[in-house]
Amino acid sequence: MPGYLLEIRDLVVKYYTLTGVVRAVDHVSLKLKPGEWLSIVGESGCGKSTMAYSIVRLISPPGKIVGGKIIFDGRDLLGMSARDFRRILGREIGVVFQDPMTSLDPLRRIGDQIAEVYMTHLGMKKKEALEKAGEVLERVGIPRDKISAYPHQMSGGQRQRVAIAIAVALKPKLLIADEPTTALDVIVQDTIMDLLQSFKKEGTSILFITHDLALAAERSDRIAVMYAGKLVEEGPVEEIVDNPQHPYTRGLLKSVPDLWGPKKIESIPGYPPDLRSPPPGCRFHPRCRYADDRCRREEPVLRCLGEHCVACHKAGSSGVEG
Amino acid sequence: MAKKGLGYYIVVRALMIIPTILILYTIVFILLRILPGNPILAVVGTRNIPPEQLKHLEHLAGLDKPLIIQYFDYLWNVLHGNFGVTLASPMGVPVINYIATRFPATLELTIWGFTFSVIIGLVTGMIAALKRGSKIDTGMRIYSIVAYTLFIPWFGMILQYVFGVILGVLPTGGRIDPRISLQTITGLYVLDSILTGNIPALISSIKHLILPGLTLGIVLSGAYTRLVRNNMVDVLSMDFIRSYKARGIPRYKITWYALKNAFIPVITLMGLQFAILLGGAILTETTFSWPGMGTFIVDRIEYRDYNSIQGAIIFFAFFVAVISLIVDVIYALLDPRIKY
Ligand SMILES: Nc1ncnc2c1ncn2[C@@H]1O[C@H](COP(=O)(O)OP(=O)(O)OP(=O)(O)O)[C@@H](O)[C@H]1O
Ligand code: SF4
Ligand SMILES: [Mg+2]
Repeated sequence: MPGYLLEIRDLVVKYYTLTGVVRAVDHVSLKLKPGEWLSIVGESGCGKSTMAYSIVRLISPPGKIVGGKIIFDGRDLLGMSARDFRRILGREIGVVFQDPMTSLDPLRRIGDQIAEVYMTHLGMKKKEALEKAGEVLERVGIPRDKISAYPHQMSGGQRQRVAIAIAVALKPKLLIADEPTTALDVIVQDTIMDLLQSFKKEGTSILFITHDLALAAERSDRIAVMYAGKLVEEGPVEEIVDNPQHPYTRGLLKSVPDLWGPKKIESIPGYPPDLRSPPPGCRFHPRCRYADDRCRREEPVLRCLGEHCVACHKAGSSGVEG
Repeated sequence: MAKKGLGYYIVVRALMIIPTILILYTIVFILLRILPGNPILAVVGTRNIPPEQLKHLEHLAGLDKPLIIQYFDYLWNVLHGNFGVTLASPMGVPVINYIATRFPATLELTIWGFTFSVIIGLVTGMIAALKRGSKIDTGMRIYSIVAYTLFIPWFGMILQYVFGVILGVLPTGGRIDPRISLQTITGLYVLDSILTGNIPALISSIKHLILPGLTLGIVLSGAYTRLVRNNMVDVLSMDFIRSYKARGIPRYKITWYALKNAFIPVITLMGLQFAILLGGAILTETTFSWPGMGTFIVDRIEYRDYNSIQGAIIFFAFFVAVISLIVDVIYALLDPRIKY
């Protein structure tokens, strides 16, 4: 057993809605090594956020984790008591959410919100905690004197920096970032990505969630591609970019404008399925141009060649052209 | 900059009190003159009195002047802090003397009713929100509607019957046991009992306050229950609550932060509710023979005592306006997003 920081085994998460059961994450397994940057990529609604929130136990009704195990640093996260788990949350695992405009409490000064994690987890006194809050603010590139500002007095990019500051305040082993740049404009996006990378350099592992494969490819060590609640391909970033095996991954690469498809930009035809009643066999078959009878009948399992894993009947051996 | 802004805001809001009170005074003035009869006739009643004597009495009361003069005369007096004298028996007593004893009674009742309503509303609303979708939630929703639609005299009489008559544990009228003497300082009996260290008076005045306070409080609480519940449900589903959870912040603290956010709109309602209190106080006071502004106004209507009624209503309206100004300022101070 090489030391993994995070191991997700066979995770199953469902939403029990009035109109049916949504199988948002369907038997997904993933591993993350210490210091590694893993990106989860996929179209909207494929279960990326559900997967991330499962790790931090933020799935609430009608959602439910119905199967699987999540091992973090040798501990079973789903099995531990709420009290024990709260000691890990915010201290060893930090989370940054998509929308910086709404992820901070509008009624409290940002300094107080940052200081609170020091007080909660390290038992610091307010004064000392505010001192630390000032330091971490500067670390994320915001002047220390903003400590007494309210969230509404800051821009979206600044607020996301504050959210990151809170998430990394206690130097967590793992930082989960769910589309942290989606709500921001492109230039700000880049600076936020630089900031995340700087924490990786300091040893924090990063689980980065995005629908943007190009963005993920720039910074990740490894990439996991999800489709309709399933993991369809996973591997080191060079493998995914230079030697994609799954037709869906290829489709995603081709729909990236300037980097990999200089001649023609194609988007994948069709839409992801309704997760209340996904198609039988390979879930991608209605949109796949290589689909045959077997694909419509039999669900492909994830097979690995070295570090590179893919779930497609036609991958590797034959069939799918290069 | 914010400080200067707040000062400006307060001045503007304070100036707006003037037209509000002018309009109210005008309406009351007109309504009183539309009512048949006048103070003198009301006192004289069915007795036969020579017309010249009647004329003389009316002249003394200033009722023979043109209406427009009466209107401005009274306004002029009020501007100088003079609310006039009573026009009906007992005649010639400064209205301010009545206000001085009646107003603290109403204020005390109002404070209790208000406190009861806010506490009941916050607790029920918060529980409903935390147990959203459960039977408890449904129960609280029914409570809010029932409380909101209760008719004060009817509900007050039920409480009087249950606690006063059947159980015999609480008095059903008055402010204090008449056998107890209490030296008044502020006119708020509970406070005065504490200030003078008068334990029997303290117990008696609290006992007298419970039923009318609860009546007013429960009826007013319905609106809070509903508002707090809905705000709290909204706030609990907001992103920043999820962020708090993801930072390992203890649950009770998150509930507190949610409550603070849910409370902001409630403060506005508090300002509005205070205005409704005048109506509520009149009904509650008459039900519980509470010697406050409400019963005073009702008594004086029978006598057509123009000065007393006008004075009492203007005074009360001024008080309500000042309170709602204070509430607005608190609101502005609590919510950093408010721009003045
Ligand atoms: N609270 C909920 N109730 C019911 N269904 C839900 C709920 N949250 C998510 N789902 C469903 O679960 C599936 C996965 O959602 P999830 O938010 O994990 O996707 P995602 O990949 O993060 O998408 P996005 O890019 O839009 O954030 C979707 O089909 C969604 O409709
Ligand atoms: S299994 Fe078949 S349908 Fe699915 S991706 Fe592979 S080729 Fe396409
Ligand atoms: Mg998402």
